[in-house]
Amino acid sequence: MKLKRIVLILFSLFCLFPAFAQSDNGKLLVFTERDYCISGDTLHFSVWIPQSLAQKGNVVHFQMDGPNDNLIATVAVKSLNGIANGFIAVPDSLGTGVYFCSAFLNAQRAQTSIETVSKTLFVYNRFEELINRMEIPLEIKKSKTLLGDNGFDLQINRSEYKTRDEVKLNIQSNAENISYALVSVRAVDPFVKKHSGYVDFSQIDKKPGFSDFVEKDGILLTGNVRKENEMPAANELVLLSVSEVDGFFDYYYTNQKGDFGFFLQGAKGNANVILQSLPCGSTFNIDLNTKALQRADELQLDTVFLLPNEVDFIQNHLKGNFFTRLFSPSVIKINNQFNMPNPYGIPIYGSDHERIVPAEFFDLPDFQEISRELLHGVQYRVKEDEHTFRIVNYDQGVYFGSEPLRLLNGVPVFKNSHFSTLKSQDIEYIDVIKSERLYGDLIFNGVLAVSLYNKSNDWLAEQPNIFQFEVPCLQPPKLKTETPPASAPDNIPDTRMQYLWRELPIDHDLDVNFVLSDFVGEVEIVIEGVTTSGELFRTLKTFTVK
Amino acid sequence: MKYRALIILFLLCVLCTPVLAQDSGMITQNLNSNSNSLSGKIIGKKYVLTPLANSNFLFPGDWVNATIYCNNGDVFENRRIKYHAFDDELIAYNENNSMLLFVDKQLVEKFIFTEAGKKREFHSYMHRNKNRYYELLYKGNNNLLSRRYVYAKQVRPYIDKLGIMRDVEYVFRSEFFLENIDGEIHKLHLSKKSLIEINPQNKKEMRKILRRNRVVINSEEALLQAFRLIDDAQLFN
Repeated sequence: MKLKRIVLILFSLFCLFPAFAQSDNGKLLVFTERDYCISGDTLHFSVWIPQSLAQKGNVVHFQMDGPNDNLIATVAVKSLNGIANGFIAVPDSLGTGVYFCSAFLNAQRAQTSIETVSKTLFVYNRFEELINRMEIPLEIKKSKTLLGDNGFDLQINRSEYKTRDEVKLNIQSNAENISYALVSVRAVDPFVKKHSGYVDFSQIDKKPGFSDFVEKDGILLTGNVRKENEMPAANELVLLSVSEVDGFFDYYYTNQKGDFGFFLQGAKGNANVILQSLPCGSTFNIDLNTKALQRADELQLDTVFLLPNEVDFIQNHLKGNFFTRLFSPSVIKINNQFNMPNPYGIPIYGSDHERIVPAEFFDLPDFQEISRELLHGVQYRVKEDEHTFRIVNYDQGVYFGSEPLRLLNGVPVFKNSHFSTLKSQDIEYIDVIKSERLYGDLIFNGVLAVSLYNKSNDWLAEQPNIFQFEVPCLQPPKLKTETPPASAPDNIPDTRMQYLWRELPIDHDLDVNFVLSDFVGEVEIVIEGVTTSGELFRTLKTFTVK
Repeated sequence: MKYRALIILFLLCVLCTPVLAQDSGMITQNLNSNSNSLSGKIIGKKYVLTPLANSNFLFPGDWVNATIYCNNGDVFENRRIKYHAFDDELIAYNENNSMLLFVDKQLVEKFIFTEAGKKREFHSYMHRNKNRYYELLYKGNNNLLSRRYVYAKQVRPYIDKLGIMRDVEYVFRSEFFLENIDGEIHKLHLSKKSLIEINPQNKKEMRKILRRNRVVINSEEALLQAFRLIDDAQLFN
């Protein structure tokens, strides 16, 4: 009897244990500055990463896709302290409808399917004259509402406002179980207010290569090589160079499916990536994979007709947006210039090289003269259109039996004739390595690295099996400026619909002021976020602008 | 018969063609799926082991599995290495190419291996404008480092074990250093005086501690013990 009682107690404790543990559902949660926008707008977002996924990397992939599972936009953003902030440009030509914003980490792709909590985003095409019906998902999940003592106290200085009034907002946090919260103040779209929310999707990656790789502070670039007959190019060498990073290239030995992968550590902005496949005599096609998820199940949509007040709101919003673009365009100042430090800090051929700067010497008309006069230990021979290089093996005092690695602006060159017409004025510097070098498992019998002043790499067009891609890497931080500023002159219409969007401190109160626009109608102050148990919550307060 | 010979000749020509094609400048014949690494690769210069080096310059005695930590955060585990004490270089064995290489020193932050059950940790430090490897003997408020090296000592001519007449002997030696909180490196000798000179203001306390623990600094172990005692008592600062 006693034993039975002990077993029962132990069993009860075991059952209760999960209830005591703090758990998150292991899903990234997406928050957007507003639930609706007009095509051509820039939409800011914030992604919350649960603690359970903290070890899976700090690079968040945010994607926006349409009702037909077509990918609209995707960006990669680096997170900080479990939060990733970024923005996307909603295409100008995007049709009116409901779209879905999801986020995931690369390492999550190792799962058979990824359960995502996707945020709805209603987009109005700015060229449409009348929007009176929309398709909405059949199942929309709403966030939990935190009330009273379990939520936030929102205090504003008045209950009614006029256009262009200043609003003083005070937010007191009473909730103890909040992990992350954001405050957003915007005009109420009556249609969106009823139909926006979250949708649970089961998503898959149809090209899941390298799915267990943890992306930390960089971007994983994957792709596929195929032969001329469209068969996978298995066990071939793929070389990657990045235009703006001198002295660096990387290699990958493709697998049986012809897949390859490269990790660009610290890469921000849009990279000009050059991919080549060896051997030179064969013809290959190289494609890059877009890291995007696709829904495993078909989405069920329902058509809803808008009420007159809902139609009016959208019409006014579109007109206002037209005026805003005309009189006061919003400018996002971003530094999209590519930046990536050399991951090794030194060239891949080492720092023990001889550097020759032709500008310090007599001006020479071609590379043969340059090699004769300036490059000791380097032979450059031209015989019947055949150009060959040889470098001396300094340790052994003889020339290497095969050609050295030749680089032009960091890109491996296999057609030596590219060097023939280079003059002193074209060349910034030449690095020569007179020893046998290893880079991973690649061996070089000497290295000749030429850096040109002209970094455009026009010569690439003549080299076979070479592919150039513009690859978006980590999104650089953004600086948003709006014109006119909040206190615009009276003669310029202020048609803003969004007044505030920022992270809410959960350990102290927030006092913030903002100025209303010329919009007349209901304005909502929304606080949304995540509880410590990973549950979405939302609380709001509305006021009227007359 | 004639046609058969022509066909064979043609095939031979085709087979020879790759040899005449433009050299890529890379030796790739030993590449395989193990050559891939998304998180960095080891860079270095090929090293050919000479009998002289093998007999005199390398330690530990056997190849050991080490973990190499790079300055950029890359970590390479289970690499067969030895330390070349004469040239102050880390030698790593590249399995795919069956080749030795000197790992570029600018790349390496530290390497750690276990020898005879004891963990040994070597760090790369810049001291007197030279990048060198130092063994970390003790890590505390201040660190005790040792530079292990082999130097050539002029001796009377003799015939070595390889049967070659030489007038040089290669001697293995260790020097000791203190690295303080600010990263400054000070040389130490196997003597009490050398430790006291680091912070003469505390010389009485230092002497007391050493006397109490009966430490006579005449060996590496004794120096380590003394250093630990003095550092724990925070007498170096």
